[in-house]
Amino acid sequence: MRQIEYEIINTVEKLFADKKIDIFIGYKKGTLSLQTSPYFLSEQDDVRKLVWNSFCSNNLAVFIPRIIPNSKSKESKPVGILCKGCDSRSLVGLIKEKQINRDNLFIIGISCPGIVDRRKILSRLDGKEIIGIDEDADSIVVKLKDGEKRFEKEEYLCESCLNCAHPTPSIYDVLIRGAVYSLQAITPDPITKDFSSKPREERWKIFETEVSKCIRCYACRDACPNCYCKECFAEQTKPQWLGVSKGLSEVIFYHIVRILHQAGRCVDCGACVRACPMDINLRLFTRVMVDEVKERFGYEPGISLKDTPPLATFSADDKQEFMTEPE
Amino acid sequence: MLKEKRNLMLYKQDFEKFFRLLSETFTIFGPSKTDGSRSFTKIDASDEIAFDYENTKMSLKEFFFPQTETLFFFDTEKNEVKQTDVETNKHDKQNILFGVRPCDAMSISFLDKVFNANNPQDLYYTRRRKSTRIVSFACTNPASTCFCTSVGCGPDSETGADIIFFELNGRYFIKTVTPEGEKTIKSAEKLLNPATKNDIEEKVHLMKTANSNLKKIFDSGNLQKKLDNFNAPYWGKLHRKCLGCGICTYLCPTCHCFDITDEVIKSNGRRIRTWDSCMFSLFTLHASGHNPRPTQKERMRQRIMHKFNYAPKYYGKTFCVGCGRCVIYCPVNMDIRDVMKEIMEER
Ligand code: SF4
Ligand code: SF4
Ligand code: SF4
Ligand code: SF4
Ligand code: SF4
Repeated sequence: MRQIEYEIINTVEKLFADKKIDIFIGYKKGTLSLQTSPYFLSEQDDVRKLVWNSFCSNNLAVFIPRIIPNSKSKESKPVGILCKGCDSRSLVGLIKEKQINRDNLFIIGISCPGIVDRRKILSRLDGKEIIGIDEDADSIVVKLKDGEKRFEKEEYLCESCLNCAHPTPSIYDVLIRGAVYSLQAITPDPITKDFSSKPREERWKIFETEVSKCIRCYACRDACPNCYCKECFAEQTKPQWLGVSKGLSEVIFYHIVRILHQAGRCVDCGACVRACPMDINLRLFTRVMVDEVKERFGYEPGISLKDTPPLATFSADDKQEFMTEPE
Repeated sequence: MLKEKRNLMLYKQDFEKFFRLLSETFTIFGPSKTDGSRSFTKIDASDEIAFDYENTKMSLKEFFFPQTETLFFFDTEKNEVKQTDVETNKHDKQNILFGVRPCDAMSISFLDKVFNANNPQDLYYTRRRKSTRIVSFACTNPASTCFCTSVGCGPDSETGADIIFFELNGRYFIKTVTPEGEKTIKSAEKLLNPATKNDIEEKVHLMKTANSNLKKIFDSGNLQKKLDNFNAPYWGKLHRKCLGCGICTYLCPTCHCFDITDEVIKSNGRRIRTWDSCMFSLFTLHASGHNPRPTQKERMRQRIMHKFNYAPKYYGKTFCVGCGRCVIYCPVNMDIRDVMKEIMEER
């Protein structure tokens, strides 16, 4: 970990020194244990504050459409960004959807060993206060007032990391090779496969129970690089698609549309799940979409800049047995 | 006003009886074990209360100022308006909010300034407020994210509470703070004994330890002056990692912004009030398309300024009680304590 951190720091330092970039987005130490925080730095900031560890959980691609207007001219310097596998897949999506220009990015790719789910660890601490964290290749050691607890990373990774097929970035300008997460990725995902195999009523019940906890803070949307719309349907007033209350039907409507808008686009980074303050298992539903798209159209978003997204194309032999005549 | 606040003692083994006596006259709400202290819920038996919780995820404000509230119904054909019953009135009893953290109790005293002022007075809020007693619980084991002592609150703050409980060894030290508080415990008077000198000493000692566990991070008084500079350079930087979600304001016990919407289906309509947040891009968007707070920079500034500069000017209080919710739940770890430190350090 340390070694990789040095490599990142040196690379970024050189990028600034060579005047290749004016701004870099990475991670710095968080104010809470088990967390890091996105770090925007320019040349005068302290590059040694950059960190790389198992808690670099934000998908940094989310900031790109916010800070680079898509009209940005070629002459201005690219924005530097640190990308895990999933962050780079999001960038591929943004480039294909013409939100940004590849030339306006300088990507430091990093092969990713997986992000540790801080909530999984917190749930094992009985509310005890953490006074320190140590991390080695395989485990996280949490220091408490009355001793310490060791957590094997493999058991405490985020759900999306547990089944990540592409931990190494799909696009980059420089690649830093670290340990790559080594478990075998499976499609469809075992958790969502289990969900999909349930009868319709039961699935609906699960969906309803999960989303009924929603407070409509929209953090799931705001943390997702795919949600760059200037005006989100959820807040549109002309026409108004859904009411503004916290009622169940509004919440359900919001979630169904958000999930459907991710079809063929969601890279299963898990940023939405980690952002949700209500611990709603949003991945259960977006991952179903990911698996369906892969199965029906053989498409995985974010892997290549060339292939056409399923929603942007038509083929005569597209599967369509799920289309039903109105009864 | 209450002539004298009373200090009373209750043995823990009598708590169950105490609870039952109170629930004859009141409906009791508290942090419950069943929903993992997500919010204040109705408590039917004393053992459902989660005493050791740090802070509920949702703050107390939703009890008085719910996220969605129907103000009235109307009929556009008949040209009629029908006032709704304020929701809490469906319980015919009065309410007790039991086990409130002192920071949340204080936050209600701030919301009172906004909604329960003389002119205008918010009918919906005030009715709920009038029918509810607040019984707070002093914090003996503050979380690492708590910073109440930096903003004029504290683990034993009484502001906003009618009664405050302190957990001593095997017994509760109960202090009545308001005349309403006195009335609240009347029915359980026979279980209570006056506190002795020893009891008081034990309580003082307990709170000393709790207070010493809370570091004072900044001085909110100086901060207000510092923030008078609306165009300070730090505003250009602080907001950059902010996603503009509403978590920090929706979970904040003192944030009170709302929006009003008419929902009409055919001729039946209702006017509803819903929470809003200055962190949303739509918050100040005008019908013309102009937005006076066009980027997250202005929105972040609004949030900080409202709490630490405008509110002290208008209400004499910093509108932050240091509960730490925004610190814990912000998806990008925007730590308001850090923001404050950064602002204070700026020359
Ligand atoms: S929907 Fe969630 S998992 Fe999918 S790309 Fe967006 S943030 Fe990532
Ligand atoms: S982040 Fe969670 S609570 Fe917020 S809108 Fe999304 S699902 Fe709802
Ligand atoms: S919770 Fe964090 S990311 Fe969301 S609006 Fe507040 S400061 Fe910004
Ligand atoms: S600003 Fe943050 S710490 Fe202060 S009262 Fe609101 S949620 Fe609590
Ligand atoms: S303006 Fe912002 S900070 Fe102030 S009360 Fe409203 S939501 Fe909270």
